[in-house]
Amino acid sequence: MPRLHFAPSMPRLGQALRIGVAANGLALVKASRLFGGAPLALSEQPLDLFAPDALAVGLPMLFADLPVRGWPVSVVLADELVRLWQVTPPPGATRMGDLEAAAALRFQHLFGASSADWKISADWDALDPFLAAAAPTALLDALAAAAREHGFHLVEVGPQFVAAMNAWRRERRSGAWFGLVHGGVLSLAAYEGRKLAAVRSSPIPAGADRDWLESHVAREALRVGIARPERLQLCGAAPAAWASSPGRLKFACSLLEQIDDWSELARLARTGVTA
Amino acid sequence: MKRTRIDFAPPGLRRTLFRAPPRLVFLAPAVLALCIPALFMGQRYLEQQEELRVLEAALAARSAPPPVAAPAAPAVAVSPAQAGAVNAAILQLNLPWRDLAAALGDATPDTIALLALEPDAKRRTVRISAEARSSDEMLAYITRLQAEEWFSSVVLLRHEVMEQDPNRPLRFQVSVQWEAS
Repeated sequence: MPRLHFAPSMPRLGQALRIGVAANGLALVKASRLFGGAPLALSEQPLDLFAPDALAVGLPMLFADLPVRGWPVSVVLADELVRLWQVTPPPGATRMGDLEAAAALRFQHLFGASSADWKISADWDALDPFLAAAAPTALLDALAAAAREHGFHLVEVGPQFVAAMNAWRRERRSGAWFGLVHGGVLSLAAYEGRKLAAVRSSPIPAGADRDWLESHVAREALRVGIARPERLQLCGAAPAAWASSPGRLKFACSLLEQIDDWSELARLARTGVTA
Repeated sequence: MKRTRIDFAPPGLRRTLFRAPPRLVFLAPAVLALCIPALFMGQRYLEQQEELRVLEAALAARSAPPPVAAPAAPAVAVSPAQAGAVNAAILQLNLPWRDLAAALGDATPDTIALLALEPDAKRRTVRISAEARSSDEMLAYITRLQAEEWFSSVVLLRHEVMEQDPNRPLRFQVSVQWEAS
């Protein structure tokens, strides 16, 4: 991707930088929160994130000569780097510690490992099931160190799926399932009424069409043990063929985004910016 | 749908500001516009407070009882003659009698008989009338008076032999001036 002009050395009002961090590379996008300007892809840097000091080497190459000092930076972590799960709050939970313990226990149960090397953040709720996410502590530390070194401010670090949920929260309908298509993976948040029932990710096979989507959704509903949704809202690079066609509707599927010519890494960094 | 608050960013002021709804920025001119009248009103309030303080001070000064003026001493006309007399009397009263008597007592031997002492406080002199058996004793007495430190000058005014007295004593008068203390 060609490097684009990046004139202002100081952050303008309402503007922020977004860094997409995936296992195979980094991307930098400039976005405006205030005046609704279109996001601007600035640069990309392919790398192997699991190599030692990958961020320490990759971020300077990503920034190159871009003056990022003083800018607020949001980091979008690809879903393959984080773990997302649903936590049912224990009955009679009265303290924050109860919820944290429930989230840690569920993490251990689902992923079979201690959460010592992970940092857990969640949309804590003492009554209804809530979404929790864990990110590797080493990755977060590397990001904080990079922020200190390059002088930018880390204002947001979150998973791509959560960023997409928040970006489209005004368009989302109560009771509708929400999905994100990115990198050949479909991530689904299954809802039962207003309550979050589960978060599941699965690879999309080649040539997956509307029939595959319907059977996949039916399968997931059975697996979670809830009714099939009446509506599915998808964002990301979902095939246009998945959109509802009148006549044979089992559920309505609306695509919140259209496929454009942005690269996968740039789309990752852009996730969370409402169009 | 409500926002899902999952964030791994370290907490801080920048994060809090970033999380605030961006539309709040559009409220900034309104807040500023409200601040300007508030500023003027605040200034007016302070001025009124100051004015009130001044008025209260004036009121307090007005309602306070008038200060009690010391009654003026009645002017008494004193003639120069009266004043002189009063001053003379005061000088007389202030005469250092004790010092004078002590000095004379020290200087007067048994052979001299003191007859009269006439002090003049104004001139700081005392006229001594005394009797002696002979002129030698008189001269010795005058010498002793001169030796006294308290007296600055000793003058023999007159002397005579009392013929009608069978002992024929020598009566004399001495004027002695004392030092101003």
